[in-house]
Amino acid sequence: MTTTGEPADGFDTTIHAPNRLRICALLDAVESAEFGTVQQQLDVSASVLSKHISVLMDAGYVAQNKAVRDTRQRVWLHLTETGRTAYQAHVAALRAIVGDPGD
Amino acid sequence: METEEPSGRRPTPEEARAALQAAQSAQTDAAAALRPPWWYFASLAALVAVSPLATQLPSTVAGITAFIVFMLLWLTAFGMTLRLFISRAGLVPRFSREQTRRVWLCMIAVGALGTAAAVLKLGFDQNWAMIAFAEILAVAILVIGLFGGRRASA
Repeated sequence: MTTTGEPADGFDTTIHAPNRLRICALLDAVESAEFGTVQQQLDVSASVLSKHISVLMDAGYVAQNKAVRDTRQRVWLHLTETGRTAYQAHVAALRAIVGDPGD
Repeated sequence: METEEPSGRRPTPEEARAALQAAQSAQTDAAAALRPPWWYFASLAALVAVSPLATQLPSTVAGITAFIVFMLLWLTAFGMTLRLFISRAGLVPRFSREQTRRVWLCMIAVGALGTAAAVLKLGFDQNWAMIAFAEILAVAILVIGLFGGRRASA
């Protein structure tokens, strides 16, 4: 039974929290995403998103870049290689639970 | 939402299915947000359409200076178009291996046609070739961009 981190079958409780799964799914589909866009796509408050991003950053799954544009600071988020691998392994584990072998 | 920490137990097949659907939905939404708007294709098509003007400049110092200025302005406008799209979308696209292969094939085909047009112009003084190439490419960008967007959203 797994509770944290990356167990052998790829199921990852850090990623499995609903909003974190959606954050990882969104970031897996792109190179990087702006914080405000992720917030809009997930329809969550900035504080909730910040909290989840912090958890993912602490796990080494997400990294951020800050860029100033038109005197406004924008934060761009992206999955690290570790994060992408962990997310894909987690999705594979979910598919295995469902009984869908996937692609 | 605030207290959504997972319990640590493995999800049931129903919960796993719901989680997969949520992940799929997030990716579908991201793909929809990445679909370029009409002005993006219109801007690219316009930039390509005006590019033959650079080849019409005389081979004088003034003409070469104008060519350099034109190219700098063209590249700046091209970069700004891309940057504006990414800035508005808030997302930087990620290409799969297959998509990267298609982009390269497309660029090679356009490069080959462009080279053929340049050879016709420079070697055989067929001025129309570069203009025809640029205008056909501009129309193709517009049609493929708008048609592709409509098909993807259908």
